[in-house]
Amino acid sequence: MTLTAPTLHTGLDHPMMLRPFVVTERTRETDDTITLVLAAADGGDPLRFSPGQFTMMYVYGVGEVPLSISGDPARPEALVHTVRAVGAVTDAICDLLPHDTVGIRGPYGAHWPIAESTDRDIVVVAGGIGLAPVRPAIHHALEHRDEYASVSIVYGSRSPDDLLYTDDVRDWKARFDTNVQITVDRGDAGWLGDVGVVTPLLNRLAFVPENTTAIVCGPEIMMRVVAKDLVQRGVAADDIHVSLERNLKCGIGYCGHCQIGAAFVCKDGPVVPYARVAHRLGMEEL
Amino acid sequence: MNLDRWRTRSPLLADLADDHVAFLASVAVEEVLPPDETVFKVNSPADRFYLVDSGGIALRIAGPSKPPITIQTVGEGALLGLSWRLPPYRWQWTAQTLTDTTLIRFDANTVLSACEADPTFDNALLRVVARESSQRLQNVRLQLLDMYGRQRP
Repeated sequence: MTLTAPTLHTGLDHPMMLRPFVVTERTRETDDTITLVLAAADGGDPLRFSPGQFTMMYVYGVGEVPLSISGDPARPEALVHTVRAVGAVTDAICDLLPHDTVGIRGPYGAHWPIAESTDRDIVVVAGGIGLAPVRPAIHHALEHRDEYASVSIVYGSRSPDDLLYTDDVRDWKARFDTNVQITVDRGDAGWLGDVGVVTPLLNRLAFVPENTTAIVCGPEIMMRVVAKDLVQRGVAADDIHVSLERNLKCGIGYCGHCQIGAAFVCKDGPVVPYARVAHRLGMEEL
Repeated sequence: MNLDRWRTRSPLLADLADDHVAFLASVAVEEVLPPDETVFKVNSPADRFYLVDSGGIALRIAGPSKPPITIQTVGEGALLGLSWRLPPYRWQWTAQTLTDTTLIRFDANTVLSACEADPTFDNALLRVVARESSQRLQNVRLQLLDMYGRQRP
């Protein structure tokens, strides 16, 4: 085995160097989740990204976290992040207001193979906050709808009040060329939609298993159950892509915090074929 | 009634032999229901089961002094009703239509009589009910995990 030293960087091209971004819009999605739109404050190029990639966002004086990009890849001038308050840094991010400035590094990581899947059936399955990392792939698929055989979206949420991007979801459901199925774990008196887990909704999709690219994002147990179900239906494990979440620190494969087996989630993922991680997803220790 | 549409897509029919499906088709009755119609009520005799042809059904349960809550919904192709096959042969939930719904109804006594005469049919239907029961138990366990909820470290 040959060990190579990391490339040395100086100045602004250093991968740990932050770029200042200013918050231009803030939207409350649910009681604990907000969406921020940010713009580069240094006059530099917009942050071009591929669906599924993430950035590292630094809140000055508080800390840094990885965040999936949830905007439209065709509009890179608007960097969009949807954030749930689950700790000190994300609490601070959720408190940001328009005109506040943060530091951004990235984009990093592997992407959903949506642009590479033309002429195929696209099945997107998202659970909870997992809709945020797949939204760029959905944007791409719907903006290039003619290039795909079919597009199906299955979205599971905790309750009707926890549904993200309700305007987007309404628009997706209104399309005649897209099959959108939504379910919640707990309905309320006004909820007339489905209640239950996402897997039974796969029965309502029309896709040819051997010609399907599946994009699955959500809690790991949900991804495991969905991926197993898709494999049983005949979708190849290599054609099912999941997004892993681990303790990311550097984002560029230096620190090893996000190691899973022989891979680094930040560098080799977060998007990976299910075939590569199927044997690890069921391990409680990981 | 022709059940070809659901032959491979419904968990009720997918693994049954052709002659068993033909028998079910011969005793099937179509039922068209408006929204908010009660299909069966908790604790009443479970003397039938259904295949959901179109629309959707909510399975509901009411707690003391609380309005009923929907535990699960079932949609097109689903098997509605498992209690007809196992003691005490009473419905465990109340089933109510969510929208205009078409159901394909099977009379439990007619099917159970056929099962007595044909152990392979009996065995096949028991496997269907056991698999569906197991799957629904797994699904409810996942719901109980509250996996989409906020998890602070």
